[in-house]
Amino acid sequence: MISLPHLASLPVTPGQLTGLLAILTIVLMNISRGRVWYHLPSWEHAFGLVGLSLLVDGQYLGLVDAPREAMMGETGRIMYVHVPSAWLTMVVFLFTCIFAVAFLLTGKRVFDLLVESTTEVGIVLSILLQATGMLFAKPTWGVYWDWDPRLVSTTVMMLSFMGVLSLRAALDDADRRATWTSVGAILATTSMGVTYMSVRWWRSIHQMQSSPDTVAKPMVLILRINAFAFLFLSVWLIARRWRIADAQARMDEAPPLPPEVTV
Amino acid sequence: MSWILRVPAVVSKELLIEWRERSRVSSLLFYSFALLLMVAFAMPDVRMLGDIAGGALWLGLLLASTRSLDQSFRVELENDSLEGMVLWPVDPLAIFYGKALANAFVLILVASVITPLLGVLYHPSWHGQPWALAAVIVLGCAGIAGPGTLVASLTAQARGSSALLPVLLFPLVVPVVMASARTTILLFQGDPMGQVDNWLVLLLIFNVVHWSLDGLLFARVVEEAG
Amino acid sequence: MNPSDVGSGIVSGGESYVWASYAFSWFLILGYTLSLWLRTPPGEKK
Repeated sequence: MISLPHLASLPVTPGQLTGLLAILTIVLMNISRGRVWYHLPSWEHAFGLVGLSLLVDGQYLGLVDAPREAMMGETGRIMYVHVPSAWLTMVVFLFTCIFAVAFLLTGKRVFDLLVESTTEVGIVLSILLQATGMLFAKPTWGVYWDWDPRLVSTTVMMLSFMGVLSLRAALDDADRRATWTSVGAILATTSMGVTYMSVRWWRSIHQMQSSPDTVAKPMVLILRINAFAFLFLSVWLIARRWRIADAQARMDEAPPLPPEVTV
Repeated sequence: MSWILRVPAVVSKELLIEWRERSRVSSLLFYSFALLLMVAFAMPDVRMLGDIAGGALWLGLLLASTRSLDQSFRVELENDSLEGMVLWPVDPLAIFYGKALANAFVLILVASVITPLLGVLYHPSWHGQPWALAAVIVLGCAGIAGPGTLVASLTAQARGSSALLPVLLFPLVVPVVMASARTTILLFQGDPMGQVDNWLVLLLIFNVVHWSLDGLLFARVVEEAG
Repeated sequence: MNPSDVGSGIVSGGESYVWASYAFSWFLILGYTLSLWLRTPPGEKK
């Protein structure tokens, strides 16, 4: 696709370079603010750093190193963003469901905030999944959209989680909001199975899922690198989103005192 | 399991409310009837109506259900009677199954009125068994009413609930709409591949999953609703 | 694209779709990161 030297032949990979630059920025900021040089503002930034470096290398591998796909030619390279986003969408929404169940069982606020953050990050990932899927479908199937079971059921899933976020936004009472969001998230996840099955019958199309067995060896490695990049970046995004939700919750609990009025 | 004994009481309470507010059920019927007319006006050719009759029926029922479900918990909020029922104490499971059964009953009532109308207006051909049509109407309406009752309990107290209810409900009932519409279309147009049974099994599975899970989730919902 | 691929059933061309999907991913991740940064209350920005 692009004629650049293969990643293995480079003395320093672009990802390593990006990671080093990011670390350098953190060190310089620490020094300028009078902190110890190795201070990390919070733990999730470690995940962000690793994810960013892996993503840069993974995308380089996908655009430069990856062999032309046997059937799909150059467009097969879309796989290296499409497939990891599909995996991560499923993983993140699975965690939404786990956190929702955990909240209903324990009633701990942290699980509620995690439900909120994973839902939002999951929606972003599923938008990425839909968009890359459409761009993949156009050159290979000839249309942007087909009523394919996986397409339809992931779109339905995205819609139901968007509904959960709207429900959350429309409720003011914190306890009620927490319980009802969890109930909505569990409903959204459990309906996935039946939806998938019904769309499959509805269309009667059977397609194989990509798994490491159906994909050639060098591609598996590139897919894995990109998948880990998405995984680390998702952890980072979820943690950052959680910090916002946490700060918001603490603010709602104890609103800041009004400034003293001096006469 | 003593809550089961309470279910008939809740059902009869719900149906009594519906009976006293007969204008609500009749406006629901007019709504679905008007919808059938509108679908016909929106078609390029009236001769196509026979082919889309099954789809139009379930689209009409789905939209009618959002109107009636939205009302189902509004009446409780007006004078905090849901809280009253929980404190009485009526088990939340009894409240859920009572309300869901009543909602399903209203939907089946609407369906049994507009299905003959559909036959008159849309001229669908007919190749099926009457019992299969009855089964799909009962299972489809129950499939909408079960999760619909739970979703209505979630949205009733939210801001802009009448817009929020469809947003949450429609993705959930995709399998129901798909299976019911497809079955009805197969009953109208003939079923050479014998798919009707599969779709009915799918509807049954959906109903079993939702009618068992949703009651448990509803119990958690009303704990916070007070 | 190899001339021998023509008529072989292999999807040819489509580089623009590859670029579009990679660029979309980068902009989406970047955009979401930016929105998180903007929504973070000042006290949490460390």
